[in-house]
Amino acid sequence: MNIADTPVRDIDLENEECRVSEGLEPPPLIRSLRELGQLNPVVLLERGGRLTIVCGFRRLHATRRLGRESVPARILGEADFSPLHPLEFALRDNLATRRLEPLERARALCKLVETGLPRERIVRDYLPLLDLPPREEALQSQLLIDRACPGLRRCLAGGVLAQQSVEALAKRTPPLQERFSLLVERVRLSASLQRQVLGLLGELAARDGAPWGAPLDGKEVAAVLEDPSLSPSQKGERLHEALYRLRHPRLTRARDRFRRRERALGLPGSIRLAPHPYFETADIRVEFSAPDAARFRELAGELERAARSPGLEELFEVEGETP
Amino acid sequence: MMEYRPGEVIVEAGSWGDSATADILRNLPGVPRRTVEDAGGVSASRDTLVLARHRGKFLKQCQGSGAEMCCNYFIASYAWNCHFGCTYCVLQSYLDGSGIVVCTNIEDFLGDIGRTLAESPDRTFRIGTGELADSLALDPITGYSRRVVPFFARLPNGILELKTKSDRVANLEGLEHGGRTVVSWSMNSRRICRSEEACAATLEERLAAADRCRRWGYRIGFHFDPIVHYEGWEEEYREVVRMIFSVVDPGDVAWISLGALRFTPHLRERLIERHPGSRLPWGEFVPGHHGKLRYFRPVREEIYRKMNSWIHECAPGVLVYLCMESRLVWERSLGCGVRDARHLSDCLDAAPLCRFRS
Ligand code: SF4
Repeated sequence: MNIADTPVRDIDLENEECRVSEGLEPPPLIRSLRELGQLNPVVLLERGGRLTIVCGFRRLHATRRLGRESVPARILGEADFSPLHPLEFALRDNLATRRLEPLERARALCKLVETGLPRERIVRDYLPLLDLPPREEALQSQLLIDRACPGLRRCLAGGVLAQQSVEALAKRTPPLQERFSLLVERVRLSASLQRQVLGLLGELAARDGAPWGAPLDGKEVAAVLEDPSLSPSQKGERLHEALYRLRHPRLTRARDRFRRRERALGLPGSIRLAPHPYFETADIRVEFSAPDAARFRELAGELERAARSPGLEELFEVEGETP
Repeated sequence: MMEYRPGEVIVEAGSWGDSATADILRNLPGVPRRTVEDAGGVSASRDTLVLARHRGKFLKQCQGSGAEMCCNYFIASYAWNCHFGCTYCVLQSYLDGSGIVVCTNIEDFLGDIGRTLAESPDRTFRIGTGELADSLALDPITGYSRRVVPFFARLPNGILELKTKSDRVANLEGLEHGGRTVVSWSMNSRRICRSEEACAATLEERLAAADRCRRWGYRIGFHFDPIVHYEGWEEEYREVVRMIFSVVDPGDVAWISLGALRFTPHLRERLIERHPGSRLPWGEFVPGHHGKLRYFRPVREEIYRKMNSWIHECAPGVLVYLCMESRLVWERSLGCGVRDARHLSDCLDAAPLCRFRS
C-alpha cells in the first residue's frame, strides 16, 4: 500500500465504475481544496497499467477544476480490495462519512447489480446499510429510480418530486417522464397530491384505453396551467381537481349543482350546508355559529326564509335522479 | 362450463371416519391423494381439493345483517372456495391459497341447522349455501344436494337456497323437496358472463338447467349480481331478462335480486393486478357502507329502476329485491312495495311456498 503524489493526467477520469456521488464539483469542496488543500488521499485502482478512481471522484474533479496537476493517492491492486469488489469498498467508504442522497443510493445499488454481486446479498447486506428495507421490491424501486430521465432526477434532487412519484414515473416512457418533470416545475404538488395526481392519470388511462398522461394535453389542464392569477400551489390543487372531475364526472357535477342551488338560496356565508360527501344519503347538515342571541335570531331568520324558498326542494335532489 | 377435476386430494386424518369422504373419493378415481393431520395449515391452489372436518357453527347470519333493508338471510357452508374464478369474486380476497375445501362432517352440518331451527320454531330461516362457494359446482363430486334437499323438505321453518352459476343439477332430479328448496342462478349480461365469469356455465346452460329444475317442481331464483354499468348495459341486461322469461314461467320464480357491482378497495386492486383486461374497476365508484366501493347512488338507482321495470314488463308480480341497499335507494328505485326490512323478510320467506301466477 503506498501513498504517492499522482499526476491527474495518469488517472482515467472517464471510468465511473465505482462512482457513487451525484454532483461532482460541489462549490464547498472546491473552496475547501483551495483554502486547505487535499487532506485525504483519493483511492485508485491499478489494473492492466491503468489507474481508475475508487474513492474520491468529487475530490479529483474539483482538483482538476482548480488546475492542479497531481493529487495524493493511495494506489491499490484488485487483490487489496478482496473479498470486496472495489465498488463495495467505495460505497462503504462513502457511508462511513455521510448519508447518500436518493439518487446516489439508487446509482450505488444499480452498480452493485451490474458488478454481478448476487441479488440476495445486495438485498440482505446493502439495502439496510442504505436505510432501505431488505426486500427485492425495494431494490427494484431503486433500479427504476436510477433509470429516471434527467428531468425527473433534477426534480428528485431538488425536492420537487417525492421518491415514490419518481419511482412511479420512471416506468413511463422518457418523453412522458420529461413532460411530467416540466409540469411539476410549473405547478407545486405536495407529496400526497403527487400520489393522487399520478393515481388519477393511471385510472383515466385505464378507463379510457388512452395513453398514460393523455389528459395533460386536454383543455381542462391547459386552462389551469395558463391561468396567470394562480400561484404554483393553487395550480397544483386545480390540476388535481381537473383530473378528479374527469375521473368522477357524475359526482363532481352533483357537487357543482348542489353549490349552485345553495347559492341560489342566498344564505349568508356563516351558514354552511353540507351534503353527504358522496350523496349516499339525502341528508344535508346545516351548520352555523352565533356569538350571541341577536346573531342567532338573525341566522335562524335567514334559515326560515330559505325554508320557504321553492329552490329548497331542489337542493335535496341529486343529478341523475328521476323520482 | 369448466368441470372441476382436482389435481390432488388432501384428506384430513379425521375425515377418514366420515362416510362422505369415501363417497367423494369414489367420484375422483385416479386422482392422487394424501393425508394430513390438520388441514388448517394447508396452502394450496384451487387445483387441490381439501377434505376436512369443520369445527364450530355452520349457520351464520349474512354479512348484510344489521343493514337498513336487510333481508334476514342466513348462510350455511359445507364448502369454501370455487374453481370458476370469476374476476370479481370476493373469495379471492380471503380464501386464496387454501385450496377448495369441502367439509366431510355433513351430518354435523345438518345437525347444526336442525337444532337451530328447532330452537326458534316460530321463525322462518332462509338459508343459502352459495356464499362461500358455488352451491352446485361441486355437486357431481360431493352429491351433498341429495342429502340437504330432502332434509330441508322435512323442516317446517327452513327454506334452502342453492345458488349457482353452474348447470350441474342432475342430482336434484327426483328428490323430495317439498317446495322448500329454491334453486337460483346468478345472472349477468352476456358480455360480463364471457369476460368475467368465463369458467362458469353460459347463460344458455344456466337457463337450460333452470328449466330442468322448474320441471322437477323447484321454485327458481335469479340474482343479477354484480350488475355492471357500461355503455350499452341496458340492451344487454334487458336481453337477459327476456331470455329468462322465455324459459321460465313467472309463477316458477320465487324471487329476483338486484345488486350493482361493489368491492372492497383491496379486491379492486387485486382485480386490476390479476385481470388487467377487465373493465370492471373503471366505473365511477365512491366509498360506501363499510368502506366498499360502489357506483354513485344515482347510477345504482337508474340500474335498479330500469331492471325492475324490464322484469315487471315480463312478469308483473315477481318479487324483486335489492341486496344491501338503503331504504332511500329502495324507495327511489323500486317504489314502496316493500315497507321495511321486516316486511321484506316476510315476503321472501313466503315467496317459495306460494305458487304465484301472474
Ligand atoms: S361462481 Fe361465485 S363463488 Fe364461484 S368464483 Fe364466481 S362469484 Fe366466486
